[in-house]
Amino acid sequence: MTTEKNDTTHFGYKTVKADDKESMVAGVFHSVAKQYDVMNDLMSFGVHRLWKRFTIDASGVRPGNAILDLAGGTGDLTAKFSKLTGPQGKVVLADINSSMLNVGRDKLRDLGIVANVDYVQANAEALPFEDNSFDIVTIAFGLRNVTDKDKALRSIFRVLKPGGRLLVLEFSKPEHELLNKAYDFYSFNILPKMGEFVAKDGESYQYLAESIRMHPDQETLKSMMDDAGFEQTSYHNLTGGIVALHKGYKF
Amino acid sequence: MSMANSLFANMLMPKQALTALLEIIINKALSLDQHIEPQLNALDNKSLTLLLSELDFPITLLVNQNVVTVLASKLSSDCLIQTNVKTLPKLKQPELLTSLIKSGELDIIGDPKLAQQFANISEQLNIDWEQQLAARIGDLPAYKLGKLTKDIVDKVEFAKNQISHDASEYLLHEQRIIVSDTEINHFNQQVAATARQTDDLLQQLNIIASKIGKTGAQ
Repeated sequence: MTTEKNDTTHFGYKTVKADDKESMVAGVFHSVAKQYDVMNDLMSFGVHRLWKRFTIDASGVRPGNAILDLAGGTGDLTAKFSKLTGPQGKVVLADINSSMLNVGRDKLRDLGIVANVDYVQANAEALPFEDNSFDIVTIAFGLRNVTDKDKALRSIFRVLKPGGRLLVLEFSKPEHELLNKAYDFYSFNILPKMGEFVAKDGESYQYLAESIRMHPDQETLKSMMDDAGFEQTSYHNLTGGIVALHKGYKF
Repeated sequence: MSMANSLFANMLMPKQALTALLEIIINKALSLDQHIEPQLNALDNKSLTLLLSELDFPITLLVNQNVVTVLASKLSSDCLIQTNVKTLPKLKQPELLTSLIKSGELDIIGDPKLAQQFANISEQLNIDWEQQLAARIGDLPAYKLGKLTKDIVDKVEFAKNQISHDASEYLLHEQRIIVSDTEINHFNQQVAATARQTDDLLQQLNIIASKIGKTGAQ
């Protein structure tokens, strides 16, 4: 459980009231939304595109599928899914943050992706969709920002169709100690400075590094998915475990 | 998969890197040919999946709004082809499909016409490289670079033919490793003559054997 018994939770390394986390995270993403794509490319040296490709390859998407791209931000996954699911399918790009959603909507429209994409401002903990609505739900680099992750996983489980699957792409724990140390150095010494220099917002990127460290590791997240009702849950480490893709089915 | 291979796949994600690279190259090439649009339109929302024996994962090409998306997974059953890299270019020749399938070099699930449509696009791509270059570095440098490239290609082609010809001559006349057509014909005639002689001999032996058999019976 990420929400502690006394109704506090983590905001990076800080302990804050659970009720406050949502607005604090919102503040971070309102601040970084416009520079989000540039920063993603810079911070990951472009590798985030391969992580997202891996997610799509692992999704088992078929033409005609209904897909929810949760915390979809600037719409990288939605753009691909929109093509793959085709005119018979539907993709919903959902994000709790209006600034991210606006950037995503503008970007996709500029790319000519309009026909089968809907935009919904939604909280992952209380998804505004009917039960059994989606074949695939993805949440890429979003779950760690959710206040009550267990509640969000249960909510996702509810909206998935039987046979549907959830894919969680998220920063995780590097498998090797040496990589872990190098990654720590990069995250806490270089990343905030890059954020300061490019996005003029070092604090948000300090939060990013801290929130990654506070996020459940691979096995813990897998257990959380099991507890939420998912079956055949598994994970695949990417780039030495810096990122992991968790997958679970609803039967 | 060995531990080293697993670590390599985990760190560098070669499948996704390959499909990303293919996607960039294919779409760049398509964007340079202004006459390819009708063929792409005909394939809108159609996909082709290749299962190549050289790769341990499928490659899917999907056309959508004149853009090709490349995946390292299966998508639909529009057309799925199981073959190898060497056989791929032969897909452009419809008359070969039956023999390729019979010989086991090719297996097609779905619509084979789709595979040919994809193959035709790659065949019909006609990119004016000199014009593309001129737009970037100017007319004169592009012309000079184009001429230089053509000269180099011609020279390489000439050198290739010359080396091939010289090598044949050397093997044929200097080293006598390769036999000439006349020598092969002569050898074949000798083999045929020997075969005839053997047949005659066999026939005579059979006659003698049957005569001996009759004498023994009396």
